Amino acid sequence: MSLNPASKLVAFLGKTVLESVFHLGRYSLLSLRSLILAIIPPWRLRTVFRQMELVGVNSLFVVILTGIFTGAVFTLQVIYGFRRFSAESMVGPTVATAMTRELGPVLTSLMVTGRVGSAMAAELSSMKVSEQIDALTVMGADPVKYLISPRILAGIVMLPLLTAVADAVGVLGGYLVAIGKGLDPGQFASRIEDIVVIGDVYNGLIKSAVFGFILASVGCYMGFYTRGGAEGVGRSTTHAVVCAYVAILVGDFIMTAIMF
Amino acid sequence: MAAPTIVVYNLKKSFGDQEVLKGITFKILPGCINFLIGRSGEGKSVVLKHLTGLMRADSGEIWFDNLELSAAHPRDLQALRLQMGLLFQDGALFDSLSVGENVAFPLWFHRITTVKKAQAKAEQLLEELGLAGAGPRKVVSLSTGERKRVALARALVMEPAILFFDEPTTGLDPLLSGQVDELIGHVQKRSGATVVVISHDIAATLTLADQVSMIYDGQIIASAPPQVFKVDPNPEIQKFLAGEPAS
Repeated sequence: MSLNPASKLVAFLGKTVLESVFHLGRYSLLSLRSLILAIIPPWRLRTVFRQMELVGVNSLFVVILTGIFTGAVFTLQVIYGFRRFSAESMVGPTVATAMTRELGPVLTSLMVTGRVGSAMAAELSSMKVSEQIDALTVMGADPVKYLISPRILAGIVMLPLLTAVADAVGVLGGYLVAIGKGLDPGQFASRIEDIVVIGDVYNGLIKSAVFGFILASVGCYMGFYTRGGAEGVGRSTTHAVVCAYVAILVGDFIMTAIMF
Repeated sequence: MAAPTIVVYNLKKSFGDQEVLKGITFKILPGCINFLIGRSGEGKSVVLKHLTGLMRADSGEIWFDNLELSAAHPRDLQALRLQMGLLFQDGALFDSLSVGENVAFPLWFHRITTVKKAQAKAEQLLEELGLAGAGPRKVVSLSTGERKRVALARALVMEPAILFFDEPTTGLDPLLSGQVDELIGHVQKRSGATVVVISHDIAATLTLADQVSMIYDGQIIASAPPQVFKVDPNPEIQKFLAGEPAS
């Protein structure tokens, strides 16, 4: 029996909703289990530090570049706009607030997702298709505790640190551009002290810890449940990046609405 | 741990509409070499995944002595897994670790011994398997035959009471296949472990096996010593032995 277009649409929507709920449920269970296993001994600190190196230290260069140019270009735009109202003294605080609240956490997370989240998905999915995850299970090593928990911990710990670096170099980049554009350096810095509050920085760092959790858990989820050989590896990697990007942006909106 | 008796009873498994296992029942003899044979796609590896707890059956039971796998407490399952060794078809070696780290992995992971002693044991096993000095090498630098031997060393490092081999000679040339078959026999004699080999290699089956079980159309159609198995009148068995297509 062939379905009419309306029925096909309903069937498609129903299937999509069911699949989404299934994936969301399975993702939530995997993430929760990873977090619980991360705090239950025995702890494998060497594995966690190794992941911290991959997520944090190895992403430092790209994060510094992103931060410095974001701060610089944002300052250029702000100077252009604020000059119309003779409000150049507000350039410093505006750049600092934007960097600490939004641009630092979000852009750092997006950059690290592209670099590390995709790598996590690719590594775990290739381990899955080559039966390495099954090998861990048969050897009595819980793959969630051994593979996923350290990655999620590393994401949660390292993203705030990277964000702090991005915030600092972003403001520095803005400062250099501001000086180059003839703004008073003292005014740029002193007005930041007056207007930007420590809560802006803290909340930005809290956001980035959540983004760190999202990028690592989504990358691991996509990799861990890969199916279908080399094609599956590619698909998982792409899905990991796209889903993490969307989750970070949606999460950012929700957290910003709650925090500020 | 003494080698346990493994009994599989009425095991059923479907993937979507496809019923792969339609009530598998057979017994694995302790301390012997048991071959599970059948044509490609008959579900041999699916049975193996059930035996190693990697897959859950739709129904049926798998008993390791007095322990039923699906009802086992995670602690008991973990204890059982420490007594298992599995040689995967492609080795399933960890690319991120060196050869020595791969072999020593179960020992240091479960903190059974110090890292130094684990490495020493890994080196000793590699030497026994003709890979002396291969410890620091990267997994990607290994040939197919070497990968099999490293995977075998990893499966043996915990001195398991049950050893599973998933098509151990697939993709190997006749010389290497012979060497791997010899290794299986040698390892079983030395350790007294229960060995389960998934295979479609008729020659190796008839030479090495103490017991042969054949899977056809989702069921075990024979389970007997090789000398009895090869004269079984079942036409599917005779066709398989003769290398003819199934009906």
